[in-house]
Amino acid sequence: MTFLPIAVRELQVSARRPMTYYWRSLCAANAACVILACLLAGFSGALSASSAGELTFRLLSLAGYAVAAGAAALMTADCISQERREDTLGLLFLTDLRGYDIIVGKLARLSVPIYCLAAAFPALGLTLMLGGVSLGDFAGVALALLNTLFFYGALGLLISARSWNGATAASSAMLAVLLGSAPMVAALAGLVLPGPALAFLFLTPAGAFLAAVEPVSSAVSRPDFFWSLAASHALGWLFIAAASRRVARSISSGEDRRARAARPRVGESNPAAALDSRNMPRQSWRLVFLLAGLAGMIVLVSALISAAHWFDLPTFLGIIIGSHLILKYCAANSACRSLPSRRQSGELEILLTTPLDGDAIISGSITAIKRQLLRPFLFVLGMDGLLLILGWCKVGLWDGFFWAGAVLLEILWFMGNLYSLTWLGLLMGLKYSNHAKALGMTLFSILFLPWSFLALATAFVGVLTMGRSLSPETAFITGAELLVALAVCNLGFAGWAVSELRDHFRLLAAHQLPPPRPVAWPWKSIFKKLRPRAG
Amino acid sequence: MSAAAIEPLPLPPPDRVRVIHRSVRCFFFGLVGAIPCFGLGMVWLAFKLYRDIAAETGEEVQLFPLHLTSLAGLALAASCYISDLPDGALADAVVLLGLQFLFFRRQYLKNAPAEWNPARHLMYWGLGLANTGLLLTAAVVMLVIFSINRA
Repeated sequence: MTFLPIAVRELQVSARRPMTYYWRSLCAANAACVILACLLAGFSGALSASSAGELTFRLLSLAGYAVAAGAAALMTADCISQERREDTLGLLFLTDLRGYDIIVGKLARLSVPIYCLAAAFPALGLTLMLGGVSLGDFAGVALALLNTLFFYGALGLLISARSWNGATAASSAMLAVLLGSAPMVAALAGLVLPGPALAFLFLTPAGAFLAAVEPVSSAVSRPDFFWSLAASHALGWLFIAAASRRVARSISSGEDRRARAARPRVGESNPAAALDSRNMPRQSWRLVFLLAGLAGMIVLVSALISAAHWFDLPTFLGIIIGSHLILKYCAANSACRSLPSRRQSGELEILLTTPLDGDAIISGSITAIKRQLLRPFLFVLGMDGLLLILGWCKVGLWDGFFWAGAVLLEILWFMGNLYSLTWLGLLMGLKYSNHAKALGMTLFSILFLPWSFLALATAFVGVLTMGRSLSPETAFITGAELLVALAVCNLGFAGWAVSELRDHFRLLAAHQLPPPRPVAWPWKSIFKKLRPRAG
Repeated sequence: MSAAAIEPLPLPPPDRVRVIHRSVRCFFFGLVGAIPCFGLGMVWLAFKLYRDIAAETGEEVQLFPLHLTSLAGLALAASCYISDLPDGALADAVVLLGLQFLFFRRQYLKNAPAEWNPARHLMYWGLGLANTGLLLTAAVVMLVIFSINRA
């Protein structure tokens, strides 16, 4: 028998997938753009060579940590629970496979993020030539990033092995990433960590990462690099062992008790919305409490960092952006699971046999999502308004106009994002059978892709000016580029999702979408016409 | 039997309601796509919808002259701007838009589809608006590049 057969299969599948190459290229291009932007800033005299190297190293390392932790958690969080929901886990155990075969096989899914990190490492290595970074720093960060990937992948597998619901598993994994990274963020913000927080940091990969990325001379409180790396790595193996044990024990498909107990709302005009709006009041209140808790936590951390200056604009901005991000995540999560959960339970098939058309079913799902997020949304809007007024009072009348404009722009962007995330989430949920993959693609397309475009566009402007000057005009152009990238991604993806859902809803619901036609690039039609005809 | 003797299979009858909906959507996407830079995503969708509708109704897609005039017009406008002839660039832009309007009109009148589409005019308006948005975006990008280089 082949050693670890599922791992071999997963590796072969991911190696042959075109998206693997696209992801890798995108990561390398983004890393190269960040390097280029910092190099050009160095040429313009805004930064010295060593500080440019150090800044680039830190930026790329932090981006790498975010990508590694997020990708590992999202890619593994729903892999076992999906098998369990589809009743295929038991079939695997009819063969010679053991629990660890399945778990290590699923862990091999992380080959794509490893390729992406490997593609970005050469760009990170360029900072060695710029100065301010030693070979030891580079090797330490590379090791810490790979360890982060392994640790959160193992944790995601353990969560997946204990879950049945894909959305719950993905949310738990993301929450674990946030909790695991919170002490590191607090330490980077200048907070002196107390003993228990330092011990917690020691056990997570964030501890080794912090020790690698921060120079020894800095006053940041951090654990020892090698001991933290060893402890978190060992903990990762413990997670793997626990997941292997758990997956072998629980092969039966435990149907969600809450879903079974829930009953649709009576008196609803749209049956699709009625079916979707089960359990909602409790969930929406829970989210309101979570948002209030987040605001309280940010205020507490700000007060701990600086007792004199906590009541200031950075704290307000942190609360606004944090609550918006959480609500955006919830909108995408609800949209991604809305239609697939009904397809799985057979409700969608029954709905499609009724006179209801696709538009009615989609609008029912959107109504249910709106209802679910209405209370948290109103809470966030109220909090934004309060913080806007407080900030205005803090900075004075005339400076307050800039603050109010920025907050209003953020609120507009937030509303646009909610709309796009909902539509794209519905489409991705139907396209991909894996909830975490659908959620990851939705969040990536709407929230992260504009920043990727911005990196490319900034590098483009930098090459045009050859780093001659970092003038206010260049800053204005960069800001305009960001707005354009946000608008293009939001409008483009929302329009695409609306178009696809309205045109091919039945095919998407039945997983029978025809393969996409090859893209007709304009230059192809030109060259086709210009090519001389034979004979 | 030779290959030439085999007749191509007739197209399946299109869902007319869906074609009308798509044509209206193409117009809407084109309208938003006419906003320079910000509507680029919608421009892509408008062109994609046009191709999809054309494939469904059996209409021949002939965008070659459109792309060729766009490229030539943009190159001419760039060279006028480099040579300090802003009036020339403006005149070129007007001629380019006029030529493209005539192209769309001719395409609409001559290139009849196999299946009747009552909202076909909306689809062409959407395509024209999307193309205008694309040209305006290219013009804005060129202006930014030139202004940066001059500064």
